[in-house]
Amino acid sequence: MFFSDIETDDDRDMVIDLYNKYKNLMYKVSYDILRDKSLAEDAVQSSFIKIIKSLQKINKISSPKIKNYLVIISRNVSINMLNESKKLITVSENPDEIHSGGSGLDDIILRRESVSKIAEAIKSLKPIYRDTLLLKRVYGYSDAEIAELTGVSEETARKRLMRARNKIIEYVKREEDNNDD
Amino acid sequence: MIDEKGNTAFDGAFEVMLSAAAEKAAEDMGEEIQKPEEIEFSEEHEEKMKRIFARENRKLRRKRIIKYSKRCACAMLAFVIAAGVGIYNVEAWRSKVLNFFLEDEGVASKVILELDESSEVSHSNATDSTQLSVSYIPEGFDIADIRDYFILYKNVENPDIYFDVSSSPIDANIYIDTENMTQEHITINGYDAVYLEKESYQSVLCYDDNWVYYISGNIGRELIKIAEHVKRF
Repeated sequence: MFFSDIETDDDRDMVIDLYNKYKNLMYKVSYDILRDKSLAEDAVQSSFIKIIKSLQKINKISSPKIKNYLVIISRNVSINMLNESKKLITVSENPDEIHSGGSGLDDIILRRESVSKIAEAIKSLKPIYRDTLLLKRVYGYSDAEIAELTGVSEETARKRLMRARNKIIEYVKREEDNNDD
Repeated sequence: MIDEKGNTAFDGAFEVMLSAAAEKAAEDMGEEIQKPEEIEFSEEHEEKMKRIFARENRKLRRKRIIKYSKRCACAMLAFVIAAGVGIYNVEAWRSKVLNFFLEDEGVASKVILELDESSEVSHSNATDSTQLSVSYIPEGFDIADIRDYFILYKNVENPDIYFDVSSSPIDANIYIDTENMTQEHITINGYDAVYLEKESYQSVLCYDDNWVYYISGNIGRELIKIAEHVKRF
């Protein structure tokens, strides 16, 4: 039997529309990493196969967030391709730097404006942490799906999420300290 | 207040804010992305993208042919009906096919059945009370899956050998896989039909006054004999 990730004509039209609208952007993201026209085109193709598979996650997302999602997919597909071509071994996360939940928050004060501050902290993160966090929080990816897309183990994906959280707390604390001074 | 994981209410508030901030960051970053310059993609790339979209399109079309119902039919009921215990009067929604052909759309073909417009077609009621039946099954095959619109048979000794039978209302939009397949026009029970074949896959498309039947598998021309014994009652 044949099941499709594209469920309706609307889904199919959306995918083609996404491609026509954002293929240049996705190519640019991929080319910046791979530095090869042919590989960048391959990355766009692979990215779209992943996007089709995850269509149900994105069909209700607003336009700016979709654009960011496509960049995340393209970047990670391209990085994986680059790693594969260079046979790079991903450096494992340093467990000493990973703290479990509930740490360090007592020192910061959460206010309404903290959302903007935290958003700035997220934007300042390195892409590997930022992508992991956004895939989880915004695009509804499971740890396993994040691991598959980013080419790491589930354990590493979880550590990256924790590390991203800790870095955000550090950023907010630092900002507050600066304001106090 | 501390929960079983050692998290405080403060942690909970931070989690909520973190999610809201992530949404904001994703939106901000999307808006900050500049429109890149136009890229001239290679013909090979565009061809591959077309194939990716066509493949998904084909899956969608196949899915429509099958029109899976969520309700599974009981195998015993299907055989009872195959034995001739009809529960629906088809005369009430009889339609008539004036013309039948396949319209090539690349990797798939659209099934064109020109109907006599004066015929009464009301399948919405019929689909709830009719059953797909197959009154000839080659020796060594048994039902592997059965739904309202579909029955899959597999060879008992070698499950890789299979055939399936599906049906769809005659006035539905139907597409079938015709990529790299030879076509032979045949007659099934007095109606025009087509036998399609490629190395490892064959199919028969046929119809009666109310239903289109699609029989496919890897057992060669035996599918034609099966097609002669497929019916919805």
